Amino acid sequence: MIFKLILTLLLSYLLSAMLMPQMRKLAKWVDLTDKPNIARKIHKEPVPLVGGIVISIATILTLLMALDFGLSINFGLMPIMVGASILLVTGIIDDKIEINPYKKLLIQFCCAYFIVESGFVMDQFLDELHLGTLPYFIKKIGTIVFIVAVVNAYNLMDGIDGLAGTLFTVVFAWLAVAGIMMQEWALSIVSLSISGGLVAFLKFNVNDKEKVFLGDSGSLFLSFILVACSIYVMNNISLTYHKPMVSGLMALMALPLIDALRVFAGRIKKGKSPFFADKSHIHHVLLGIQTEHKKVAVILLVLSILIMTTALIIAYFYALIVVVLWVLMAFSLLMYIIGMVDGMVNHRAALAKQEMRS
Amino acid sequence: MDFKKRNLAIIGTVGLPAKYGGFETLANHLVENLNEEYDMTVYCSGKKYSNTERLKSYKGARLVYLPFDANGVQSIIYDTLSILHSLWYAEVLLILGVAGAWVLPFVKLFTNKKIVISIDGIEWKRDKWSLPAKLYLYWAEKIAVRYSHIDISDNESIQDYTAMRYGSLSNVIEYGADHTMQVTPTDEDLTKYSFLSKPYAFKVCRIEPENNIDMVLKVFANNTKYPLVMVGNWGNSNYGQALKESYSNNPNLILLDPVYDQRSIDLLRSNATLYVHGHSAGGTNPSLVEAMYLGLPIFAFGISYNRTTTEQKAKYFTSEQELVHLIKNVDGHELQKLGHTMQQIAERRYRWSVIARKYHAIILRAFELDEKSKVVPAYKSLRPQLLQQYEANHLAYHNLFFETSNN
Repeated sequence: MIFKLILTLLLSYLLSAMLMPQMRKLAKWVDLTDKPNIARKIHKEPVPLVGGIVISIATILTLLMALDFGLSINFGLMPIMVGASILLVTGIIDDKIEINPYKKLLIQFCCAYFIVESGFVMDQFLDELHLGTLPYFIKKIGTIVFIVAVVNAYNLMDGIDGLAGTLFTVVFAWLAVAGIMMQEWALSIVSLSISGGLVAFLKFNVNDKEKVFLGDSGSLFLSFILVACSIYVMNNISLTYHKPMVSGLMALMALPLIDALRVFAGRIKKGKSPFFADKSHIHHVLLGIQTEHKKVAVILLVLSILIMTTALIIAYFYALIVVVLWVLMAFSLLMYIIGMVDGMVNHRAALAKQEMRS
Repeated sequence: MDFKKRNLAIIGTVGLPAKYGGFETLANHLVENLNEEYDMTVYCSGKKYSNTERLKSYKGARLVYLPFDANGVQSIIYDTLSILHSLWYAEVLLILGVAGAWVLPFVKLFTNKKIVISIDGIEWKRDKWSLPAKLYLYWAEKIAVRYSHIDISDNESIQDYTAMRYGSLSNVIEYGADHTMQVTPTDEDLTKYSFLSKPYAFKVCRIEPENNIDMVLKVFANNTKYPLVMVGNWGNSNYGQALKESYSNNPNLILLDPVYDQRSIDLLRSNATLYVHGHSAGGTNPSLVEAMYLGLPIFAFGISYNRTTTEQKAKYFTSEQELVHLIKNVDGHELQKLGHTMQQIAERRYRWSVIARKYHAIILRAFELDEKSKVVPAYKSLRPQLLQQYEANHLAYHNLFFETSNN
């Protein structure tokens, strides 16, 4: 089985790496690019938005190849992949001709609703947190909100080179490990075929000459699969390795979610719409003290993994609820510090202005 | 007279007798000038005073030694322990620097001690600190301002900054300079420092990039009107060593190692024709104030702190070209006038008796006030529409003293 997993990773990597340059040309030809925009975008040349498309093609082809349908598949792969594909198409259109954000949100809600209906509801997970007595429809609503939140949070993290790509890679790698631990091979195969594509994508993403972006298409596609798989893992907490697996997963997914909350809260505090785009995300703040994109991505990755490690240690000794509280606390502290860095950078700029006045 | 003097603890200096920088000199003069009014205790760093050097008291002030450094990371522990120790007896805590500020919320909540804190310059902005240190200082400053009864800044431009960041009014107290003196060179001095007999420009500072040393050296290296005599700790950093190496052969530059003896440093600067002040870090710099007191004409880097210290009356530069222009075009007569103006400002503002009196007044105020005065008027929180409704539109566009206009 392990051999099969390795080949899955390899096949998907090779497919993506092969497709990427071709799709770049195609994207330039049909003008599916991200154009420089002085206010918020940081790059200078138009960059093809094909990362997600290539990853999705490679993933789907690899899955068709690798998934032995005699394999017992305990979770609804079909609704996940269909939902993800719908979002992929939505994303492509959004990349090409901006869609009204509320329509986009509505489509996400619909997809979330359908996979919740097909059985992806966080119920055993909530049981473990002593919230099992909640009425079932509340659990369903909560799951839908969770799905939409994760999808959008990852979309917002896609602001600088390498960041969303690495975060996705790490969390899918973790899901692959979880699949192996749970003997849920289909989960591992899905995760590994995505990871392979992501690794190939990262190579291009951090490259200045042949740069590609994930695009809305990519981040929607990937985050939808991610959230569905993670709900599946979170629910199977009766299995042997459940606690560390779930704990690690939560810690990895917390960064985009909690940062999105911080940003929203900040905007509301300033009296702006929470959807008003600005430069207040964690990576923008860090760019104020470290100008190199790759380093910012690495810093955030290291912080995430650090908090994940502590979560794993705590999971070894205490109940899941303690881990949840710890992860929330650790990230809140991180966000407090990030807020402080933000304040410092802003004050320095204001001060520079004040200092030079004569 | 039968009245009990108040107990005052001075926290955060290296110690007395003063051997080091601005805060220590300040503590020294506070002890000299205010010992009639207060029973004073000064905390000293045991690391800097060996057992044989330690005194029980100095000019009437009790000295307490703690075995930590007063600077660097250890200053957090040093200041914290000093604050906690002083809680046993002191009524007023005069804290110089923000390193130990994290305990102040507890002190303010659980005791009725009066906390007067001098936040010094804007430490967190200085390049010499690492990022975690900057973050700590940035945070500690907030705590210091929020949980003290009165905060003191050493420059009006810093008062602008605290108003901008905290919306409260800081009190400005600068440094004194009248411990410096005019020294007439003896024959011995003239043989040791041959440049004393001719006009020369002078600069003394720590060799750090924020003091614009590069710029000043480059200008004087190519300009032969005056030679430049510069005193600094060249050996302390790679930056300093590299600079000294590349400029030491220039006949127009005389680079000297630090001089700690008061007479020698006064000898060097009081006979200069011109003082160049390149500091760009926040606050009133003691070296600038001292040069002013000696009546030297000042060419200062044109940052707000230096402008307020010199009351906008010195000559300012922000680039090499401007400095070159100043050197070329300001003649002897004008220099003399400039020096005189500087001296007048210093005589009026930068004497230790004046400074000590200001501290005394502030401490008395701390006993009367419970809240800091706010600088942001209530109308700032009103919506523009509401202001318009009451025909007070102009208020929406009114800049407060610390706000930079956008036009």
